[in-house]
Amino acid sequence: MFKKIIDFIYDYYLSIITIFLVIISISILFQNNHKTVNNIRLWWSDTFFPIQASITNTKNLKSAMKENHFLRQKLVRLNIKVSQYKNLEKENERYRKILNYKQKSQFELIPTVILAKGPHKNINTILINKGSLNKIEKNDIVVDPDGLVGKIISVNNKTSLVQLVTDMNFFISVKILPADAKGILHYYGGNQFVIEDIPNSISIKSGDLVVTSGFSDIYPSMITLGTITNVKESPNGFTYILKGNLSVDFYKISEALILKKL
Amino acid sequence: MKNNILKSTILIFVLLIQIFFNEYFVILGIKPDLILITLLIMALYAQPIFLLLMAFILGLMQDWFMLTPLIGLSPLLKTIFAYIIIKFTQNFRLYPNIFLFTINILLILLYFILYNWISLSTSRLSFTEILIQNSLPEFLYTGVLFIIFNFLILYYNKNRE
Repeated sequence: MFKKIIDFIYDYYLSIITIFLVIISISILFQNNHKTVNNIRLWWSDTFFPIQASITNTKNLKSAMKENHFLRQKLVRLNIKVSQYKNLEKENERYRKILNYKQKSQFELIPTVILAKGPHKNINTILINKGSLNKIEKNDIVVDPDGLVGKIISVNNKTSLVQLVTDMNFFISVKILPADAKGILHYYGGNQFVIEDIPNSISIKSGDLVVTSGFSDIYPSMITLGTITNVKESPNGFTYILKGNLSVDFYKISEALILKKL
Repeated sequence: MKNNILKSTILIFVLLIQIFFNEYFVILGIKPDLILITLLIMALYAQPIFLLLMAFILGLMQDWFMLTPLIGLSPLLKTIFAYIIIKFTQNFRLYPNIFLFTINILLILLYFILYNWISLSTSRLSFTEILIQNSLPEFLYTGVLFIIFNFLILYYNKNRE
């Protein structure tokens, strides 16, 4: 009997090892949200932070020259606009004082570099080079000049994980301008989002802007998410299904800003 | 033993490239799976047990240290695929090279179909959309690299002879 077992193991040792490894893999797969699993991931990113950061910086340096030239041009144009806005701001402040309007919460912008993205096209998390040592907290939001990037879901000493708008579990309350229609946006695929259940009595067209509604405690209002590209009536005949393009290019993004409540 | 150390070093080197230099290989948001390519090529040269263990360990490292949505999916698929390619290599060693080569290409396609289909199963994307947006581009990129590496190795072996 014992010899039979030994013979069996000898004949099928590859299959036995494969089954054993498959069982381990499946059990890890079912423990995905376990704290230890996430902690190991964060420990790794913090430990190898200097290597990852230097590699990322080298890569970013190449594109920085190109970007610098473009930004200089943009800066000149923006400076003209700023002077116009400064006048408007002073005027606005004066009116606010007259109306005794309380200033809403302000934000501090912390620049950050993206250290790593997921290996596949539908990336849902990125690793950034700021952590609790930079006073980053869970639920701080991440933006870039084009719009909302995501929110911080876990913080380590020197690095943090950001859940992107392109995560399939990411839902956010938005409004569509200029109609001011409110809805819930979620990622669709590629660079597209979808907003459902918007009453078709509201006039919405292609090119309308989608911004955060400000209903949530996490996201302040008026942060750009994208523009509507397709307005379609839903089968029930009462609502629209809106599709649009995200304004942030998630494939090219290499730097971002953390919007921190003061 | 010496041979296994060399192969392990190559695999660890590929893993480090995959983890740290991943962003250098991006084309239109698509990244190749260098570990999969190395495992498939090594199937011809490495001992089966070594290949199986490496497929599991490197798959796990890849999931853990890169930002993959599901930890455990890469070791699962890589172990199964390593087993399949080992069996094919053992049983069809005498067949023309092109046969194993085609099997390898088909396995790469199947790997990306399964990987993306499972990892995006919670999304609202249909199977066709996942196939067109993710699986096929990743397969094409990885497949082309696999072909290039295969030819380079063949060329090297011929010159050595």
